[in-house]
Amino acid sequence: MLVRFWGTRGSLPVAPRARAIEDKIVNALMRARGRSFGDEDEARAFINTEMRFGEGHSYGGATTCLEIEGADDSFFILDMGSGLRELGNDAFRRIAQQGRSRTYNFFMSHLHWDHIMGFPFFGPAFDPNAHIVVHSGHADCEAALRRQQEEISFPVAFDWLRAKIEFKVLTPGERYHVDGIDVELMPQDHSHVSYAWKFSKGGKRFVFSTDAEHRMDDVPDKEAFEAFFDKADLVVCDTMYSLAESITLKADWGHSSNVMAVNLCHGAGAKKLVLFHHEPTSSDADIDNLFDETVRYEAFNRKGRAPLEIVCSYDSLELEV
Amino acid sequence: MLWAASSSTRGPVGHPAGDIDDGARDVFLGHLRDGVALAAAGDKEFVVDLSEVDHMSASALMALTIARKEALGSDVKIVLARPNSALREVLEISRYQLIFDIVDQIEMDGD
Repeated sequence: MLVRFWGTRGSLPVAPRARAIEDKIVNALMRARGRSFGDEDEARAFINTEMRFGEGHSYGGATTCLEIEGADDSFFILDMGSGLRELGNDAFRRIAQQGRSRTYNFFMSHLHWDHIMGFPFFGPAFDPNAHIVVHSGHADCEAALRRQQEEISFPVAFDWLRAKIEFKVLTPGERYHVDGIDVELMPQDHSHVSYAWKFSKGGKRFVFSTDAEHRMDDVPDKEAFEAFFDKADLVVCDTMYSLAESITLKADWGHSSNVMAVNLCHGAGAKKLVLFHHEPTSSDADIDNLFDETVRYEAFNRKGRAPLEIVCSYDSLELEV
Repeated sequence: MLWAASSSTRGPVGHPAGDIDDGARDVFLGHLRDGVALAAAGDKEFVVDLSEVDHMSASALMALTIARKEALGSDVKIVLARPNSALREVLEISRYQLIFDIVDQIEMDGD
């Protein structure tokens, strides 16, 4: 399986302001002072090897949307955040160039605004030959998607979409086989409930767990998630807040921390943790620091366990599972 | 994990020592609760001297968090003192400096 990240920001889409781009260019020019680059490749090598990721790039600002490549035929899409618009455009390209299927299997963590706002801009929904299947733990998924396209909120009604759209409600604890991939879900602590998803194929396991609050004193929650994450090859976790924020000012807001994510992955014996659902007020430098601190915390907390690889997600990241 | 108690100008002091691992969580939390109860009856500050702590597991952080929450109900402030550099970094990664006072010195009674 290949996991592709189309949107990694939490809660609200963000875009860099003019000064942020200027600051990056000034920083790069100052860091390169006295250096010369023979060609573009040398300049790119400087950016990619001598600067932090957030100095030479942006983590991006689209809200939650991931894609899994590896199903037998269809597109597998996790959540409909604002990153979905670009995925839809790219799907048209791949269908045209690669003869891909026009079947889209969606798997929804939950129905909050930042996780569904991309659907009205998903081009394939207007394709009369497309087949969209929305898998969710929520029985009210269709109502949420219809509601955001009511006239008061959006000019194009849900019923004007041309694709064949169907909704399937899945049950936690059951194991489903969807187009060559085994799929499971489990409920998470979040307003109106969210669901973690586990996708398994060929002995590899990928877990997508966003918008989940893990309370430090909730031992049953810890045990349940360690079991769900057990020996996973890749786990995407909600790391929106610091541990202190998550237990004080932002307690009960439904999100978690890098520290809790490392703890759960260590307990589960997972191999790789992806930091995800970045706080919209965080700058690229803030997210660089989050990554560095998480790497250090993992080392402090490892204590004889196998190392847990830490990856910080950004819009356009691709990871092989 | 070992535990000793003393007093300071700020209030009662707990001195854990060694590794506070997952298995020691409940014992650690019990000592923290005892210290908070002592402080509630007097100085309103309970100092946890971390100078002899080598490592603190996630469960130990959890115990601190639970104790802090309970201490707030008794109007008691928990002060973390003298963590080694690695432990201080773990506390700072967790942003515990925003919810606990972390100090480098303790003035013991009789000093």
